Amino acid sequence: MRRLINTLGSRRLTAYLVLTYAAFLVLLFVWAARIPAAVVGNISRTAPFICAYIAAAIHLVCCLMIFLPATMQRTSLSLPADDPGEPVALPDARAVEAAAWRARLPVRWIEPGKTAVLHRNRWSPLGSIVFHTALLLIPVAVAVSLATRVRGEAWVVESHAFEGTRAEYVSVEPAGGFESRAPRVRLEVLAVDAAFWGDRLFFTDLRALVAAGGAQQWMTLPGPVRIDGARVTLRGFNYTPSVEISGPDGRTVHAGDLNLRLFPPGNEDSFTVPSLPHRIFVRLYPDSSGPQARPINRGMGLAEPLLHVAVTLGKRLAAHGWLRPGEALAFDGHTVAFPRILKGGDIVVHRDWGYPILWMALVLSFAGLIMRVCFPSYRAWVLLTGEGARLVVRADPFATPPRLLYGADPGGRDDP
Amino acid sequence: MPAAVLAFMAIAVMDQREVFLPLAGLGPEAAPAPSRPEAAAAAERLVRGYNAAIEAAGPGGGADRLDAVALSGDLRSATRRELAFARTLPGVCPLRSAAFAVRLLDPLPSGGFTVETDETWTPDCPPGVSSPRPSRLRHRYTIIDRNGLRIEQAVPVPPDPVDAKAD
Repeated sequence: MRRLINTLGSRRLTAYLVLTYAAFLVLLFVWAARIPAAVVGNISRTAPFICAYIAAAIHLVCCLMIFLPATMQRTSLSLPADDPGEPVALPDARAVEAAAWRARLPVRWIEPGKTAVLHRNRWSPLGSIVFHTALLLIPVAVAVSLATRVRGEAWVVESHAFEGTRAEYVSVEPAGGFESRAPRVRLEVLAVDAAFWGDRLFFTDLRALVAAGGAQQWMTLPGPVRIDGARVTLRGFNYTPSVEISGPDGRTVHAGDLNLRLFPPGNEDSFTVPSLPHRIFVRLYPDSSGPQARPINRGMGLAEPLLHVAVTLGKRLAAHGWLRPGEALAFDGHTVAFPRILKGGDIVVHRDWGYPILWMALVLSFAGLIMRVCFPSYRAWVLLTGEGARLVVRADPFATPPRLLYGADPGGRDDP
Repeated sequence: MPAAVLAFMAIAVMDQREVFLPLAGLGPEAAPAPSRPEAAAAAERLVRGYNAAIEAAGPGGGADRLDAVALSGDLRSATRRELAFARTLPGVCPLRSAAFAVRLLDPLPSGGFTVETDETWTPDCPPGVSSPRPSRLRHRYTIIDRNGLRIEQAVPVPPDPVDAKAD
């Protein structure tokens, strides 16, 4: 078993794996330049790649098993038995403590008056273990993400509630099992504000005031709100009308707010109502003075909305015309009117429990690197024999040895 | 190392076996797929058949011909509803197809087609009844291949507002 672990955690295998990964990355980069990113993503999930990921994870575990005892040994304060040390000018215990104090090294007497250990950043070698353990967390995060990730896109309209049911989402991932994983996102959109850069289709500000869980909060274009562990992000803006359809006797046969996509201006969408077989097509020009030969739209804001409405019944165009909000268009004995225009937006609901693990891995890997690089370990044992002192040192290659311990230069650079 | 390379290649071949097995002549016999022009012609025939069934559903009914056309359940019931509603409207005459032209026949990745047609339908009014103008509309049909072609959706494309203004 030990031999297997040594083989799987060997430095030679590390080299092979690094070369394999480098080759994979080069291939993926070459493909990414030629074929769509989604296809490259699929390639990276094929068996050879997955085998390489699994091999890397196994190799990492074996490396940790091999190097953990050695690393723990490097944090030990026990005197190395196989090192005679070198002579230093520290005549007695008092001189050792003075030198340690000046060098700002804590001193611990292993054998009072005879053997002392002075150390700095003793636990620094564990930084390597922390860093590599963090790397192991990445496949865990990927596995958790695959098992829990859920993402849904939906349209919301101001003054309407979003209950988070499957039917309200336009698209969901994963398609199967969404209901069991979906977060309980319930919110009411109280207002949607959009500011445009002049008459151009650029947002200078886009935000929505939502009420969720008894609190009101602003959801901005870059700033999501968090509901039931999910990030709810505002992604787009939309106009949608409310409709009123009256029958031949003047009675209302249908009234309500629609959920159409009429933004950007000129975008066409259609709807049907249960009581009629017609399909009604609508376009909106939010700031138009009127239907000229081509509708002139002066801006994106809702200043002078103008609608183009076409009603079809099967193969027949029943009616079409230009309407202002509140005006009616007659078709087949009925009339259709759009009393008001509402603002809305696209939201993305996203929850992935792999994210916190990934962040944890990132923080841990940085912490490990900082431990290792910025705080090099230094351990020194002073042996007082009565006939002189000897110094045994174990230090990282990049650790600066405190020269004061050598007892020769009290005014040197390590002198506080 | 050579053993590892061989094992790695074996894994790659196993992963992509649906590519390698047919190359080695070991793949399952694929059913001969209809050639693309044949399927396109079948899609066009399907749309023409749907329009003929609508045309046959005159004032006296005749919607049974719809049963012979491969349609989705939603489209079949919606078409029946439209025809039934049209019959109740006073002054609305049954429509006759006066012109039909396929503008676009675009194959779908899933095996079906998107068909766009320019259609002119004229009201077939009895003598003495003022006839409304012909209805010229573009229609978009989504045809899917599910054990045979079937019209999944048929949606009119209303005229552009500019054209509508000029109309």
